[in-house]
Amino acid sequence: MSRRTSPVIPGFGLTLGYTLVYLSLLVLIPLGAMFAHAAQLSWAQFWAIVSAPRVVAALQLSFTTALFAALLNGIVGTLLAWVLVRYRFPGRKIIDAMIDLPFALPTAVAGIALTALYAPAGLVGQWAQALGFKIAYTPLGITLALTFVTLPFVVRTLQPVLEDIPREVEEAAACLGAKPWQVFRYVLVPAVLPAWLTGFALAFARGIGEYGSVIFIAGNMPMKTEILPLLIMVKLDQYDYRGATSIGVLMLVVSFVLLLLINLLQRRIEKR
Amino acid sequence: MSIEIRNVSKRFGAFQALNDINLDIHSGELVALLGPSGCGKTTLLRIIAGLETPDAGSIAFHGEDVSGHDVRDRNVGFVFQHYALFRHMTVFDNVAFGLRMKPKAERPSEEQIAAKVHELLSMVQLDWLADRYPEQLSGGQRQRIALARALAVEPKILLLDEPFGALDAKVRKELRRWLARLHEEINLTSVFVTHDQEEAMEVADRIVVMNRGVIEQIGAPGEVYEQPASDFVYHFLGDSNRLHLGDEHHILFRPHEVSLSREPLADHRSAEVRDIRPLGAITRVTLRVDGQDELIEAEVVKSHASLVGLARGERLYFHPLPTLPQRVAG
Amino acid sequence: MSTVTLAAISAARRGHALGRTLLIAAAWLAFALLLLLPLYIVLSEALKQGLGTFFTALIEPDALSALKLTLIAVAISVPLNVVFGLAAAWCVSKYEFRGKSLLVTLIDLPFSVSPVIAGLIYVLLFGAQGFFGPWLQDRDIQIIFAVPGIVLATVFVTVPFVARELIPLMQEQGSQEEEAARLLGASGWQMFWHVTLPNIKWGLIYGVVLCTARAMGEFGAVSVVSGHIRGVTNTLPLHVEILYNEYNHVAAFSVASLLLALALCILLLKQWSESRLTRLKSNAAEE
Repeated sequence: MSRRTSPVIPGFGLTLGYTLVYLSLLVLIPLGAMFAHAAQLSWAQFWAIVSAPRVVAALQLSFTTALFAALLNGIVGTLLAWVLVRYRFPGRKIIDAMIDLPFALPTAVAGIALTALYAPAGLVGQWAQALGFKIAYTPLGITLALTFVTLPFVVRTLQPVLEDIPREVEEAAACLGAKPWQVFRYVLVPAVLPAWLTGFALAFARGIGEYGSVIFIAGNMPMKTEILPLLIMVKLDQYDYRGATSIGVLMLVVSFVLLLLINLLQRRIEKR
Repeated sequence: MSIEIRNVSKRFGAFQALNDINLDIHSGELVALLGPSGCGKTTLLRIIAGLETPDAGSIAFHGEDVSGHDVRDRNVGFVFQHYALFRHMTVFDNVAFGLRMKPKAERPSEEQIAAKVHELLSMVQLDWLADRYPEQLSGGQRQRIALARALAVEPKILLLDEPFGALDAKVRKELRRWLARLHEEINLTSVFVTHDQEEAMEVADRIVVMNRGVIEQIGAPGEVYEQPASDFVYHFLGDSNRLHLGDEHHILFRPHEVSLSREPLADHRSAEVRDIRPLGAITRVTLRVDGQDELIEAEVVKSHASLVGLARGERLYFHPLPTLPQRVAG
Repeated sequence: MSTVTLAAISAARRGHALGRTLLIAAAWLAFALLLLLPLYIVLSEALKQGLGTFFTALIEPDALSALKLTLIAVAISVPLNVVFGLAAAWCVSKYEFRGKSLLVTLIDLPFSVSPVIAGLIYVLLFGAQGFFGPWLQDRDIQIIFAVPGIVLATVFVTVPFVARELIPLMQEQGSQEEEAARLLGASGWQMFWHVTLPNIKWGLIYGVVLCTARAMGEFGAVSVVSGHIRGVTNTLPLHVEILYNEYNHVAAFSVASLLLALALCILLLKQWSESRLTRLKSNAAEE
């Protein structure tokens, strides 16, 4: 019965009004202004901007690196979440607390640290150099930087779901004669898949928009290692507001679609 | 203080929670609102408290219309189903809350508040728990603290929502006797909501039986049990059997309203014994009558002659002795 | 259970034990490579030329003014978003109304917008060529490439943090304690101060911690609106970038290690408020 609106709890008008005004002034109107700015362009102009080779190359780079980073997190994040939920071992608490470091650490700090690590003269970079490949200033370096900053997403969305699966379910399946891979395939995967996809989508969305951690390690060569958010910066520095706005609109539409997808997934999780 | 409820209706979206309710509760009475979940009893209680506004109708306390009054000015004590104790406050602070919230001019001094709180805590026999937090208490203790908190502001009306619902059976029995005594001791008008007919019968002076947003019957416990106004009230206030008589006719009777015999007797119907359950002073026999799937339950004293050496599968002869007239199936 | 299945289970247990060790080792390795190594690099690079250079980098005037601006941005954006978070969580968790789920989605919106876009939209509004650009220029008000722009961008990217923590918490707690307070004679404000606020305290602290971390470390959005004027519109992360691009790596990593230390403090605070929060929740679940 408590879910109903009670007339004795005051403040509805005040709080809703304040929320709407604040959101409108800070978020909605400015975002709308960008669309209004873009609307001054004709479709042909808009298309010409976003289909320019440099933009397409940046788009491809941002998508592929974000995708690979999200995939890598899908694997490493699942491993970490599983180990943290299922096992008690030395250092577990430290790992659990430190998982959020990429969210707490300013992205610029992450950016220069990873660059120092993966540059040809760096701690890891020199090993790669010896093996004949480069990490920093290549898409591989961008992917690794994105993997670092989006690491918590998959771990933190999977953890509560894994905790909610009672071990008895697995044991019951094992008693019914299921082999370990069958337990994995038919019991665990269906239970965690929506959460995994949510974490993956969150990491992917963040990866496409990420700026600070990437620009140091990317090298920022047009057509090669220039990411989409950086291209907006470049256009702004050249006072090319039309170009910057068009790319901004493109990115925003992409993130809306991803947001919608994440919401749908989350609704599926809550339903169960 | 009396409560007069006039033509109260309330709907939530498409759901008609209350439909034109009229009810008078006399000063000093202990009334139970009894019904299945969703019958509107909690909504009615919340409307009396002022936690809900009715779509139509009015509530008056002692003749004074309080419909427009703010909750704070109604001076009603309310005990929530899950107690709603303030989880971050000690038991003492919970009970003192109402006194501390009074406007400066009426607010007692801290010493007076402390004295009053300890008086209330000893009344509910939990003085020794003053420094505990709600999470450290058992269900029954929380319930009594919630009551002490509600009584601190000396309300003239006490409203309780399923006061014993969340307690286990033994504590529940103790507490409801205790509540009935407490009600006698302090001069209050009390209304409580329950879905448990036994609870209503045991505690209340009068029972208001509700179903689907309307009042089915109002009366003393004996009255609603012996003279139910409808089939719904009859079924809700105790176990019942239905015996088909053919031609769409049937009779309703309670398990104890029956005559049992091992030998065929005039007017007695033959039935097969399905189960025999000794329940202390009485024994319950489950019977299957030829020609109907619905089983019949009969309850007789354990020393009844028909039970001697009785085993499952044997035949018994029974005759209902209903207090209700014959009914046409509808 | 037959002896055959028992044997199968104990064999599975032995298999599990090996798998367990391997998995834990893999998790430690991933943790060390992905998280510890970057930490180590920041500290070792910062201290490469000894503590003297390290501290010099921290107390030079540009670093101090960057710290000051970072603190200003935090001091403005956190309280604003606390008030907003409280208001938003209040109306979302205590009432039913149309469009509520849309509102919740809108509150989360800044999370899914690239920080560069967060900067861009304010340039388009207040920049020299923006909607209000000429109007602002006439009145000699500078927002972009000045402190107000930096604050605006920081507020934008931190809008959801407090609200996001409070909404589920307050929804879970329900409204009965508030109703009880009102029945006992509390006014709206008394109810809020004495009942609601203490109940959501840990969630609020948690949200503030996350909000502070982001406000302190925001780079992309601030970078767009800053103009990178040394000693004037540089925040700490921007200062790190400038130093790094000037190949002053030791100074860059020195300032970076200051930010790292703050991040570790944030993690500690977060852990602490989170543990209080889970304790609260598990108590509530027992009821």
